[in-house]
Amino acid sequence: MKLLAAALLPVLFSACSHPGKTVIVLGVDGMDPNFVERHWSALPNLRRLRDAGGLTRLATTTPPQSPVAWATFITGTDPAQHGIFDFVHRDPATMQPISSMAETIEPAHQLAIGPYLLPLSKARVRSFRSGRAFWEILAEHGVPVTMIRMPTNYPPIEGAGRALAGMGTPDLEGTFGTFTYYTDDPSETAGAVPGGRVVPVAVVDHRVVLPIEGPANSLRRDHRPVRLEMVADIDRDAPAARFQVGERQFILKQGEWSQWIRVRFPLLGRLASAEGMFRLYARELHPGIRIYRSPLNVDPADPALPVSAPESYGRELARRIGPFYTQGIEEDTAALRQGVLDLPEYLEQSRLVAAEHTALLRDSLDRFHEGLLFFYFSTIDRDSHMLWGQHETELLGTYQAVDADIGRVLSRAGDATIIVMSDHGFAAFNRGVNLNTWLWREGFLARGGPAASIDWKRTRAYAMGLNALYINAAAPAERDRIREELARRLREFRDPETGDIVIADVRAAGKSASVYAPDLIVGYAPGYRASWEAALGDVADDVIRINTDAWIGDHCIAAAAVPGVLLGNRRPRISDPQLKDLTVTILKEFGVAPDAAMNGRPVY
Amino acid sequence: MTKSVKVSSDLWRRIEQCAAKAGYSSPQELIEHALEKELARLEDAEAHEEVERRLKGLGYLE
Repeated sequence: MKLLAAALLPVLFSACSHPGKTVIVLGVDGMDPNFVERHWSALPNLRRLRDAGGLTRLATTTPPQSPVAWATFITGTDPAQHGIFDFVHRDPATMQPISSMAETIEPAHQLAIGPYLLPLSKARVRSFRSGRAFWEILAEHGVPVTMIRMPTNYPPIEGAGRALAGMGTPDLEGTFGTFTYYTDDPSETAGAVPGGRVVPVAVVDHRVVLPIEGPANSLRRDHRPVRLEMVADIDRDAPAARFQVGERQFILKQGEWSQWIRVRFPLLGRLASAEGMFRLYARELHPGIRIYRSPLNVDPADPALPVSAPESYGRELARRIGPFYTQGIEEDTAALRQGVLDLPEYLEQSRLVAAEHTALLRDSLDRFHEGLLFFYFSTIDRDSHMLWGQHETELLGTYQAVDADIGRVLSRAGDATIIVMSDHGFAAFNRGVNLNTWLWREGFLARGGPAASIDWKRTRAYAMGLNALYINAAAPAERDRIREELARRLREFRDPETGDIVIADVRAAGKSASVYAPDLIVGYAPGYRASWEAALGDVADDVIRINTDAWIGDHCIAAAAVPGVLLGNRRPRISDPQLKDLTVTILKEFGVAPDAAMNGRPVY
Repeated sequence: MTKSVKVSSDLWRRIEQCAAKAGYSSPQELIEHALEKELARLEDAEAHEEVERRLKGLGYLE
């Protein structure tokens, strides 16, 4: 019977093919159903969708982290199949943390000339995600596809319609975002800070030199970063300055943001260069100097990295709407956390990002006549991290901006199927948990050596990433025994100060072919999360610390506590939809059969 | 191209003794091997720090 059903499935799907069909999917990272329900009166366009199709809670993945959840939506499979388990994976060869999303592979053959190493082939960027993206299948069936900023789609898939890369796309320095803060305040500590760097500067005769650290020069043997200089001439009478970098000059008043400033980093004289761009914020120009520079973004008009597919698509967009953020995580939460921007300044930067999203959306709608349009909104997620539970009015402002964009879609949608979905919701982050410290105290992890580093020979289990636990034993029976013991002890783990349950859910990651698969996924109870230093595998003095950071909301906890939303102009026929159900739903809308690995159920 | 480096007489004597004992063909071979090993360790640590710097832009960790 099952065999017959499997054989008939493609026939049934192809029989209901819909040429001329239009589907618009709006992916809103972090949109929380409880927040939406508290503010229906202020969200008229979401309310219209609720009246048409209802609001349904959308079950997220375990763990409920964006790269994991979006990879499930993309492939219609569980993490064990697509192979992304956390923001951070453990490299089994070095036991060190690595990004779970993509890696750059240097060219295999290079020609050495003096200080230079000239590649004889191109460097490649490889995504760690396994499985086929649903829009690859649609494109194979002739469905026109436009994918704007889909997370974990870096590098964007070639040959499957048009795509702009999203979360996971690096800045020009190869990081997920490194801001620079120039200051003449001697009390500021110079050097690297998480997500940025603080650069001391001095004003001499009303002039200040602002060094710009560019990308590592991959053409040099030593990979020394390329550096440029920007000069600011401070007005003698007013808090304003004229800036010059290369041939470009611009004037900023104190409190103003610049437009995008394009810069060229020479890599090999005039023969090779990397193009980048940044925005400046003149926080203070008189009497002190405090200037924020955004991370160096890849210029979509002249991309040094593959930020769009085809490459010409990014150029076309930049020509029509001007330059825009290309780094995957655009809102600079790190600058707020480090005190480089205050909350109103951060929100202004986030609004600049939202305005670019609106321009991208308008342009996409202007050119969308048939097929699938996917559009991703990031601001609700990033702002929720900084506002959740303490700044309801400001967060509502962010929701309202997205609601207005949804209204733009509704006014242009005609008879399109519209799906608004999010990958997870949100919860407060009050207390940080260092699982490695807990494992150490419980006897699963051993420390030794002068720096009290992990003694791998005597360690049975350790944590790395935001929800992952690994077992350090080779024999399968021993691994099973440790896994069971750990799961039991974790469920019994109580906060020593409050007596509250710390871990709401512990489960195996599932059988996976991936070498990055953890042994257990830990789902924290709401209010708790992995502590700041724990994600990179460090051991701290305390098992639990109060979170005093500006980052006050999170979702890397038990999946059941942070479901996403599903809204649309059609009513779902199942009451408990999951992210992977949407994948097959979209395929079904076009009468296209799902891939054999996809195991979701159509929602409509 | 080669470069000269000065080491104390005491250290040189120890290098000679250890090179002979460990089966190196010359003190030079032992020195090069030891330096390569230490440089690789330092370069690995540098690469690890660079990976961590890149990850910190995610916002979720530090």
